Order: sequence, then structure tokens, then C-alpha cells
Amino acid sequence: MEEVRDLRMDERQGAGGVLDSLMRKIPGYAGYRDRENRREADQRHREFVSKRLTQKKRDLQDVGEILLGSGDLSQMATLDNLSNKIDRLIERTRHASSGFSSFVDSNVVDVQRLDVIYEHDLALLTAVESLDGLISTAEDAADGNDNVGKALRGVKKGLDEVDAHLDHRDKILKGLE
Amino acid sequence: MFGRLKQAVSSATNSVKDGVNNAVDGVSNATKGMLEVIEWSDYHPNMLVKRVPESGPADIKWGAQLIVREAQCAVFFRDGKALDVFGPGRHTLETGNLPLLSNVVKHVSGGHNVFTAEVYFVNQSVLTEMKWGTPNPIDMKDPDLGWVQLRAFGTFSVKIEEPQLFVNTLVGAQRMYTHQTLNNFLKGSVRTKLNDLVGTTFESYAKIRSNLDEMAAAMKIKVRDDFGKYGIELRDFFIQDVSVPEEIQEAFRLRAKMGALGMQGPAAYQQYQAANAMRDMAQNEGAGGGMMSAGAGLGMGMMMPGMMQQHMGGGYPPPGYPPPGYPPQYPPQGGYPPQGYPPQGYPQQGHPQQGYPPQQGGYPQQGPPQQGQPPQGAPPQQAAPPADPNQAKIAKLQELVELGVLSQEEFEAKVAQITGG
Repeated sequence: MEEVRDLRMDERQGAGGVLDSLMRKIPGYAGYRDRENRREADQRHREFVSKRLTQKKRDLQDVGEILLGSGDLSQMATLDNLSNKIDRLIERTRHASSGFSSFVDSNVVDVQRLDVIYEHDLALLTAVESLDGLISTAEDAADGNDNVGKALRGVKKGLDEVDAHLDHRDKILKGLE
Repeated sequence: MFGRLKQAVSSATNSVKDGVNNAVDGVSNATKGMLEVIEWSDYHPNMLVKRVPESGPADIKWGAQLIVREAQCAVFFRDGKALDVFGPGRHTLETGNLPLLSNVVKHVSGGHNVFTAEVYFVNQSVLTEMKWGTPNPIDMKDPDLGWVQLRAFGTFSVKIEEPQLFVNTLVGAQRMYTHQTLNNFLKGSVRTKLNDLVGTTFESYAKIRSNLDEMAAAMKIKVRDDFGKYGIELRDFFIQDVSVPEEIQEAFRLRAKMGALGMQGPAAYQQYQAANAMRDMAQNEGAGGGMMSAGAGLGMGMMMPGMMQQHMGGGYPPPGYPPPGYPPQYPPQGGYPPQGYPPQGYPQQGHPQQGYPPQQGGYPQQGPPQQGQPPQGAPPQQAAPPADPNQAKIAKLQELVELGVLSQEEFEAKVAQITGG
């Protein structure tokens, strides 16, 4: 995960150009720029996570397609609910606050907390990737028409964990944890 | 001499001034033509795409600011090809963030500070209130109703998930810029897939009615590839109604009504119709005349016991009646009241009880009337009918005269006929 963060930070720093490297000579600017870069990197990372979630949604729809092919409508409403849940997670991830130094001083997020947020976002990616196994179990169950409902309940649990991660993130930003 | 020289210098100065002014205007115009800030500010939710500039390519200055709002996306095009895509935020256009475009420009512009491109801003908010419907009915073979024509309508919402693909396939090729044009395009696909879904997955109209949620979810899966190839994702699909023609709906209502009345089976409909027809005739005295009403009433009267017996399940008394403890000959088979009823000595001795009725009230004081005697204060009993049948006939005729049915002459003629006079 450290490598992922470094990669994203490098991407941001590389985008600065000549003017940016000149301005870094101004006292204080470099620190400000680094924080901004970190926020930008965080935003890119969350964009990446939301793309992964979109992929999970497509995988889940594949399960629905298998069931539909065999004329089984019994799990359609459940699948639709899960799909809507993923949509919600995608939007929550994409539009999550990046720890912004806002107009109001009390909302300024310090560097240490930005680090925690970044670590947290990397853990979020791990939680999202763990959905792979659950969805593939559901796909197998749909193929064999065996216990699809149970497999989908497993997927729901996985999605709830991702949701809980995002709740936790909000609390960190608000200074509650 | 001086005058001429002064005039020549003045003329030369003016021409230099004009030249300089023209040059400055030229530079100014060039600067005006170059885009330094690119944004879609007059954003409207019904617009899907905004092209900058509206026609032809634009000269964009390196280092220009590109402002992309939330739920927007900017796609750079050059020579009909989508090159770079920008998400929400403020972007400074330079080599670092336009890698594909800068490769193209490097060879063309010869190192100038300007590049030529078109920018398409794409609306990435969820586009709601898209409508779908079935202008032509969907034929369906229902096990109960036979071939029925289904009609359905509702709404759906979509989101442009892959702007580059969307601009390449629909905007570039088909000039699809508005919510309405996209709606018209997509609803054709919805109709086709709905037709397919109804034909392959639902066996009956009743199953569709009871599985609308499942049907909507299935539609989202069915159309995803159709929409996906244009970079569009179906977000929601709502079915507002699935209906059959009015006469079939009426049959459904009738069936429910018969069910509520306890009529079931193939003969139920005939019984229901017969009962309704008789009721209508009985109510419609003017049209059918008294005889028809009487006939209908008679028919109804004759049918009712049979219908009641049938619906009460195997005649009267029902099985298991009388309950244990009752005499087996109950209810009486030889008419009602049964023979020997009321028992001798009724009302029974000691009835009413002592102290009843209360002495201070409006009750008569004498107690119950004795058997065979009319109570005091009771209305006089009607006179017994005359024993002579001729007298009875004459009395009837008299009543008819009083009612105005017979005239006095007719009455007298009849009386004379009866008495033989």
C-alpha cells in the first residue's frame, strides 16, 4: 500500500511543472504544496476505489444475468438492492471530503490526520477487493442454482463493511476518532 | 518649404501610427480568439453535452485554465479523435496533463504557444424522468385469459458513465445533445427488451402484476449491454403500470366479485349473469310490463332456493345438525310449527312471575288475558268472513267499486249475475 501512495504522490508532484518547482523556493509554499498534493493524491485514490466498485457492480449484474437466463426471478429484487447499495458506495467514495483546509479555521485538517485518512483509504481499497471472493461465490451458486440467497447475504455483509469504513472516515475527518 | 516638410513628416507619422494601431489590433484580435479559460457555466440539466467552441476548432493557449464542475467531465478532441479526459476541478492545460494532445501538437504547431482542439463538456449527473412506454401492445399467451395485449409504461434514469465513449458514439455521430433526443433513442431499446423479457420469463399476467419489482430489476440487467455500448448506465427503472385491455380488466373485476359472493367453478358465471338479468328485469317495470316483472320475480323465486341450497353445501339441514343433545327429529319434517306445539297449558302456570308487571307504571293492571278472551282495550277483531260465498263475492265487488275499478252499473250487473236476478 505504501507503494500505491508513493505512486500517486509522484504522479501529483510530476504534474507541477517548472513554475511549481520555482515557487517551491518560497518559504512555506513547499509544505502547502505537499499537503495539496496529498489531497489530490487522495482524491485520485478514491476515484480509483470507486472505479473498482463499479467493476464489482458489473460482476454482481453478471450473477443476475445467470439467474435471469434460467428464468429465476426470486433473487432479482435482492440483487437490485445490492446494486443500489454499490451505487451509493460509489458516490460516497467519489464525493467524500478530502480533508480540506476550508474557510472556517476549525475545519482545518492537520497533516497527521491526513496521513491517517490516507492509510484509511488504502484499507478501504482492501475491503473493496475482498468483495471479489464473495461475488464469485455468488456466481458459482447461481451457476449451480444452489443457495444463491445465502451467497448474496455474504455480499451484503461485505458491502456493509465498506460502508462502515466510509462512516469511520467521516468520523476521523470530524475529529471524532 | 517648411510647410511641405511639416506636412510630409505629419503624413509619415500618421501612417506609422496607423500601422502600429493595425498591428496592435491584430495582436488583440489574436488574443481574443485564444481561449484562456474554458468552462461550461450556463449549465442546464436537460443539456447532455456542451461543445466549446460551438463550431469549428478553438485556439487554446498553453497554460489556459480548464474548469470542470462536479458532475461534469471535459473531453478534448482533435481531428475527430477523443484524446484527454478531465474530471471535476480546475486544471491548468500544459504538457503534464495533456499527454496525448501534446504529442499531436508538438508535430503540428512548430513550438508555438497555442494549440487547436475542441472541448466537449459532458453532463455526468443522473438523468432522471426519462419516459418509456409500449405504443404497440405486447402479445402474451396467458394460461387463464388466452392471448392478451399488454401495455406498460414508466420512467427510467441513466448516467453517462463513460463520457469518451458517449461522445464518440452518440454525440459525434448522431448529434445527440439533449435529454429528449437521448430519451427517444433509448426507449426503443427498452421496448425491445421488455418484449423479450415478458415472452421468455413471465408465464401469466397475474405473475407480472405480482412481480413488478423483480421485473424492473430484470430490465436493468437486460438493457445494461445495450446502454453500455454507448457509455451509458441504466440507474433506475420504474414500472408505473402494466395493464390489459379494459374488457379483460372488467373480467378480472367480475371474477373477484363472484369470488366474494362465494360463486366458483364454470357454472358460476352463468348463475351470476342469470341473477343479474332477473334483478334488472324486476327493477325495470316500465319497459317489460307487469307480466315480465312477475315472471322474472317468479323465476327468481323458483331459482333462489336451489341456489341457496347449492351454496349452503348439500341442502338443509346441514350435516352434523341437530347438535348432540337435541331430539333427532329436530328440525321438524312435517311443517312448522311441529305438531303438539305449543304444549298444553301454554302460557305456563306461574307466568308471568309474581310482582310482574310493576304496579306503578303504564302497564295494564289486569295481567295477561285469559285464554279465549280478548284483552280489554285491544283493537276489535275483524269480522268473520260471511258464510255465504255469494255474499263474499259481492263484498269483493263492492270493494272494487270503492277503489274505482268497477262502475256502479258494472257492479249491479255483476251482482245480478251472481244472485241470478
